[in-house]
Amino acid sequence: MTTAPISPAEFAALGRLDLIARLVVEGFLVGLHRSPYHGFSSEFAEYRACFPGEPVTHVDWRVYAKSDRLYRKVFSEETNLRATLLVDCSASMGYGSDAARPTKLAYARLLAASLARLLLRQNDAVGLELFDNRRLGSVPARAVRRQLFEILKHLDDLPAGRETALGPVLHEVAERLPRRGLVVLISDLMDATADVTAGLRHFRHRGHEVIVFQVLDPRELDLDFKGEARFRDLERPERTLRLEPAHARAAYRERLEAWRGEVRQACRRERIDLVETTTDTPFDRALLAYLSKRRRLA
Amino acid sequence: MPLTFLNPGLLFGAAAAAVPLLLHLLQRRRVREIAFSDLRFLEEVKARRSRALGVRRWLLLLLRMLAILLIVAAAARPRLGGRDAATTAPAALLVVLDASASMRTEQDRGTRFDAALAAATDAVTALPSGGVVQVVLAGPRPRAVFNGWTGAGAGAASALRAVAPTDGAGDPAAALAEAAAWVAVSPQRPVTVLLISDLQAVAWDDAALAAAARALAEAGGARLALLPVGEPQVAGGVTRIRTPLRALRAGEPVQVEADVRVGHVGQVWRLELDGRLVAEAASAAAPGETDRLTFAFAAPAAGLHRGLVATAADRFPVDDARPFLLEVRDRLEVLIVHGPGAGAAGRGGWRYWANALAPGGGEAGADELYSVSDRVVADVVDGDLVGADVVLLVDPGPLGRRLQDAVVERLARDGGVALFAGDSADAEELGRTLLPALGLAGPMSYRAHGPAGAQEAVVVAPAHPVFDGLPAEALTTLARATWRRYYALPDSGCDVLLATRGGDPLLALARRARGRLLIAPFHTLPDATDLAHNPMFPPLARRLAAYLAGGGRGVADEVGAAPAIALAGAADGEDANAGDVLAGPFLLFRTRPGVPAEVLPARLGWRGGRAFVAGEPVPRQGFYTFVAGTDTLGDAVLAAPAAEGDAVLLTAAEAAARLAAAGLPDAEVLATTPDGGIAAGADGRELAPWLLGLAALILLAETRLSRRAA
Repeated sequence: MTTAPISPAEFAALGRLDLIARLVVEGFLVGLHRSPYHGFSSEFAEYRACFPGEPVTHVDWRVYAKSDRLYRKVFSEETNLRATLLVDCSASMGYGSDAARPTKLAYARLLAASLARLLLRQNDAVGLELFDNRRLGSVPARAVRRQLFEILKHLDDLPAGRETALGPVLHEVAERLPRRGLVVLISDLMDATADVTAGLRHFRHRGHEVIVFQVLDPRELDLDFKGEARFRDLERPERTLRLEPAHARAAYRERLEAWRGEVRQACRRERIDLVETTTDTPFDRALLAYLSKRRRLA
Repeated sequence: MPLTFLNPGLLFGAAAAAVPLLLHLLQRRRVREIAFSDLRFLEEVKARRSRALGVRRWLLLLLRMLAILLIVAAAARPRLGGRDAATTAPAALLVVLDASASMRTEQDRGTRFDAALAAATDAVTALPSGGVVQVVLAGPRPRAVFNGWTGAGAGAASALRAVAPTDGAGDPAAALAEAAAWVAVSPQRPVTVLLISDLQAVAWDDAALAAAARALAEAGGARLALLPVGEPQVAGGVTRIRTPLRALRAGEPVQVEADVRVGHVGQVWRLELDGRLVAEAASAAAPGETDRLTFAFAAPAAGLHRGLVATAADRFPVDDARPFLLEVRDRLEVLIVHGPGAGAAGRGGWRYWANALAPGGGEAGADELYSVSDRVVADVVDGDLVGADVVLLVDPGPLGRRLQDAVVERLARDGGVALFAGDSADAEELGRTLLPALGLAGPMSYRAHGPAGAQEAVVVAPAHPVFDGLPAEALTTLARATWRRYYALPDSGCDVLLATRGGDPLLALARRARGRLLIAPFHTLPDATDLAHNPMFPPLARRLAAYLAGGGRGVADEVGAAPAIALAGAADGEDANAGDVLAGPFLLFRTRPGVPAEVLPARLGWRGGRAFVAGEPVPRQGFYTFVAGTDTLGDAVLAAPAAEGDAVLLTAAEAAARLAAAGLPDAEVLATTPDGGIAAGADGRELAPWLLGLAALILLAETRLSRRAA
């Protein structure tokens, strides 16, 4: 029997970030027992019963020969990966079209917390960088147990965002990261594509592996508003625009899709993993993307 | 070419065109604010589409407003080339108001007459001050509502509201002729004759219309306007009732036939006698078609019974119940008038007939239907003929002028007469005098055959009511009778019941007005025919007598006629009670179930030596009871004309064409407004369908444009 994954909205309603991160990660890992991503490490950890349908790759045939039972070997992580979570806190990330759904920033916060917990559970070192058009806070990467507390504390105290300037701030962060590692950027990428690409290229240039989680609200994708409306820019509140969304919907979607295509192409060119997600997408998908990347690194 | 509107009041609805504009403006004021993450893409899109969108939005608004304006204009029913009634108000208005029964047909808003009355009131009140008005009701007999031309105003309109339609036929031509008489004495000119009618097709007689047109022209001429108020309605009803054509006795099987116009499938009709349900029948024909229903029952006790064939009420209630009278006799008075006797072997052929009708002289049994008396022709007085139900003239010889006139008068009403002309002494004279007086061809030619050449008979009309119910064997038996001597009748248009094999009529029946005449050109004595020895002779004699006596008063008069009854036994004051009856005063009561009787005056009259009581022409169908003092004299029945239920109406254009053909060209066609008044001239070209079509096209374009904009 399968159950529907818990939605981001339901997680957000729980309130406590540490609790949410634990629920997300534990739930995710329980689901992974039947997934092909389990067991990317090389250090044996324990035996587990092998159930029909599971891959026979890690079945211990010696034990089978002795006991006539199927057991598979479970390995634990032994690499010392350094991962840095970059969370965009600009004003545009504060957009949420529906009270029942988290804003993009809230979604990014939950995602970052979940990734941090998952990384630390794998004994990876994890750090955090918060920014809008400049750096807002930072937690250096470490693999200690207390690190999760530090990261969650920074995520809990997210400052009010301002205008986005992804390019310069990514350059700045890239210069500050001392060792090669994994860079996880969680942002809506609402900036000039060339600037964003340049910033990400900088990470690649310095030998980092990069995963970009592009978080968007569903309404940003479909512009599903009724009646004529005056739109106000979250990053520059003085900018307004009067429009009949129904009349502009098709052209808007076309333009937005072109932009997303540019972003995809740039990431592909720089060999950056791009995970496009919306605020109503379960976290499992993002975590799976991370694990896929981590497996390749391993 | 002027543009007129039938419903100009609806043009105020054009204000509705402002609704899309108001909604548009209201929508612009009610713009909500939405915080959005990034306006870059929206700004680009708007810059690209804003101008086109703006133009398209205003174009949509314009199309919506235009569509509303066109729909409102269509509802106001514009006409191109119509004349405006308001600008041509006459100084003298003569309203011819159709008051026939068909005007009582119910439509969506009241009856046709209600609509006509509202329009007439509107026309009268719209007259300018100083104008005069007269109203002619076009019922069975046209009647002016006012004593003379009267001033237009509230009084005239109020008096108009009191008029009501009749149950009778309408006669537009007679009403126009009456209108012509009033036009001739109109104190003001010009005169407009406004004919308001449902234009029922059957009422329009072109020849009579032409005469009315001439009368109008001689009266100085008048402008004619036509206002149709009828919408075709299919309604069921009784159009005719046929009671048995013979005298009925209590308890004998009776079949009453009713012709009905079917209103709906499986419609049920009932026959009531004296308020009691007697029989029911269901029609199998399709709606709108005519069906003939048969009601079978046993004849009630002797007397005059009030009958009704009825069905459930529908939109035309007048013909949903048709009244009739059914008379059941306990005795039929048969008078045999014969020539002077010459001993028992003389002119004694009448005795065979007397014996066949009443064996034993009519005194043997109290239940005997026929009471036979005989008189020598010289002893007959007028009252004898009046008092008898059937008169048999058996070789009477010369009748004399007075008796001949009495026979003719009797046949002109509802009496039955049989003429047996076979005696060689007087047959030729009767053929020369009486037959031409009765409208039949004479003289008769004598035929004689030897014993070997005796002619057998042929029953020519076995389906005739005289033979009703007889088996084939009975008719075969009757045909075995032979004739040696008889007179040949010339072809006189009679219904021949029995004839020789050579084709000479032996029993021929003719209808004269309401009377029935039987001609038998043979002597009943054995040397002329052996009919009297045929087993079928007594039944034949009785059936002939019952037929000649008729089926009482089952056939009703139509509304518009004066109800009348003959006074039985009051001729020449010979009856002992006649003096009391004739003392009067006479009254006429119209009775309807649940409604107090209407009392109408009646008067005594004499016709052909016979007394009758008659009232004035009445406008309602039903039973009318004549009363003198405390005595009830009898009943009459009047029914609505069957044609009044006819659903075929002329269109205004057809009626105008018929009037033009009759000599009344340029009749202006008017129409009613939704509130019952008279609209402006409706004889122009109707524009509403074009406007509605255009509005539909515009709405289609608006839909496509708004989809493209979305």
